[in-house]
Amino acid sequence: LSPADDVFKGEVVRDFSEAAFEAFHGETFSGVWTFARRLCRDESEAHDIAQIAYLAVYRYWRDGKLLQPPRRLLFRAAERAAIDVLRARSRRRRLFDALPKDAGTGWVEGNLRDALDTLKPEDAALVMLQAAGGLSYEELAAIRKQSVGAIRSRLFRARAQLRRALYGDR
Amino acid sequence: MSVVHVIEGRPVEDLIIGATDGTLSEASQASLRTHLDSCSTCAELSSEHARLAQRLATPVESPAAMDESLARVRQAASAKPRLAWARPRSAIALLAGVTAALVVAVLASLAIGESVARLQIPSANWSVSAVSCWVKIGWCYGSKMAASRRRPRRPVES
Repeated sequence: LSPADDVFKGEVVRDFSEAAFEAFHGETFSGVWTFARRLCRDESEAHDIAQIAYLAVYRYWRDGKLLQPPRRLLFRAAERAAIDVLRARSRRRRLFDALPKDAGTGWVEGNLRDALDTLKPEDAALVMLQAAGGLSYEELAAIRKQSVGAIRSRLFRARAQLRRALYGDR
Repeated sequence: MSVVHVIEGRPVEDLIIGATDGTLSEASQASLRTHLDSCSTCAELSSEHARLAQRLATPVESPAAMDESLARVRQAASAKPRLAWARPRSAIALLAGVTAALVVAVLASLAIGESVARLQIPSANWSVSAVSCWVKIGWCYGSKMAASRRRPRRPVES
C-alpha cells in the first residue's frame, strides 16, 4: 500500500444495517448528486450514476466484502460511471455532428457545464470530485491509484483550462 | 497571447490554485500576496479562480432526488439476480455460439467427406475400416482390463 492508500483508513466502517446505509446515503448524497448533476445533461443520467455508485457500496457492505472505506468506493464507482457517460456522449457527438444540437434545457448552469465539457472526461470528473465530493489531493490519489504529484498537476492543468473556457484567456 | 508570471520557479496560476485549495505553504502565500498586490492581471486571475471554485462547489440541491435515489438502490438491491442464460445478452451470445458450432461441424464434415473422396477410398470400405479400428481399440482395452482383474493380488506383507 502506498501512503495515499491510508488516507481513508481513519473512517469508521459500521456493521451493515439498513439504518447504517441510510445514514451513509444521507451524509454523502449531496456530494454525489452535485458531482453527477454538474457533469450530466439531465436528472436521469445523474440518477443512473448515483444508483451505480450506491448499489456497489450497498452490495459490498451487505455481503461483508468491503475492502475499502465506503466513501472511497462510492466516489470511485461514481467517477467510473460518470466517465462512461461522458465518453458515450462524446462518441455520440462525433457520430452525429451534423445533426441539430439539443436545446440543453436540463443543464445546471449552462456556461459552467459548457466549460466542463471542454475538458477530457477524466479531468472533468477529477475537478468535480474535488469540488463536490470535497476530496483532498491524497484522497483523489488513493481513488485514482496515482501519486499525489500527478493528481495535483492534472488538477491544476484542468482548472486552468476550465478558467480559460469560462472567463477567457489573459 | 497570455503572459505567464512566475514566482519561485512556479507559474503564478499554480500558486493561486494551491492557495484557493488551502494547500500553499505560509512562505509561498506571502510571496503570492506580495505579487498580487503589484500585478492587477494576476489579481484578476486569482479572483476568477476563487469564483470558479465557489461555483463548482455550490451544491445542487434536490431533496426529491435523494429520496428517489435511496428507493432506487433498495429496489435494485432487493431484485433477484437473473440466471446468466436468462439475460437477453447472454441468451443471444449462447445462441450465436451454438449456431457457430453447428456451422463449423457441418463444414468440417463436408471437408472430411471431400478429402475421403479425393483419396478414392470406397465409402463403404472407409466406414468399415473406421469401425473395425474402433472395435480393435475397444477389444484391446477391454481385454487388458479383464487381465488386470484376473491377476492374483500379492499378499500384503506383514
